[in-house]
Amino acid sequence: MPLVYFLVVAALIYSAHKATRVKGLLNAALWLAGTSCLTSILVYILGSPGLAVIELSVGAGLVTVLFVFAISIIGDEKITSDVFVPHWLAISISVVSFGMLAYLLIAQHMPSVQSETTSPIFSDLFWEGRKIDIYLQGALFISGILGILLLIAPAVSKRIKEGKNK
Amino acid sequence: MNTLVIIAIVSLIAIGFYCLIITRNILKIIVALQVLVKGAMIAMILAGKLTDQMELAQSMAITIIVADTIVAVIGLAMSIQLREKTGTCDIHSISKLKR
Repeated sequence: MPLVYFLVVAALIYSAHKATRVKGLLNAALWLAGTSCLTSILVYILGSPGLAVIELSVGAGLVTVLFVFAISIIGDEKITSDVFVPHWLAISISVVSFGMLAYLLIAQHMPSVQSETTSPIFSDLFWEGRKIDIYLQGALFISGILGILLLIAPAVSKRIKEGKNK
Repeated sequence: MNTLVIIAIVSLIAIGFYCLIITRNILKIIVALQVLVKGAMIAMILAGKLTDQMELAQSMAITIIVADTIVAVIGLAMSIQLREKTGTCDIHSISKLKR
């Protein structure tokens, strides 16, 4: 089992690194899909198969399709090398800050708190105990639908105009 | 094994943060945000496992996935609008959209 953990974590880090560093946008979207797949495998190993399925279908499926759709509209342009801050400074900030975080988390030993109350069933907790979050997710879904309409509208209107011109 | 998962979490967040700092392309910024949020989601699951509150962690993680997807959708829509209006995906030119 530790070997499986090691392989999944190594592949996850490599895939995430490639997704952020690769030049082409389409390649980045595909590496991101791979990252989502590996994340869902890790979540499954951690003991949450339902969430793994959701992550796989949404993260690796829906988001990748939307990425490819958007890239097909705007074109797969190469990423320019102009950056906000120098690479060495960005790497230094990331390594120092998150290295310290990792050291604190590993050195302090993660707490293994066992709750005294019995854990409620997932569906009860989700639908009964967290109603405000459900409403929030409804609002988010509506904004997502509006976003998709905004995503599709330019391409559709362009094609309608092209059809009228013909 | 928890140490390995912590390393994965911190690495994902660090990679996403690094890409967020250096990139100017709006699509790459969305990719960086996705990577960063995946790290946060795994952290949530690990916290639920360690505190024996897996159900609560799962419901929180579902909320994270939904919010992350909506952020991606709206960001992609903005990138298309940005490209249509300015001809580039540079985040610096996003202020031109209001004109």
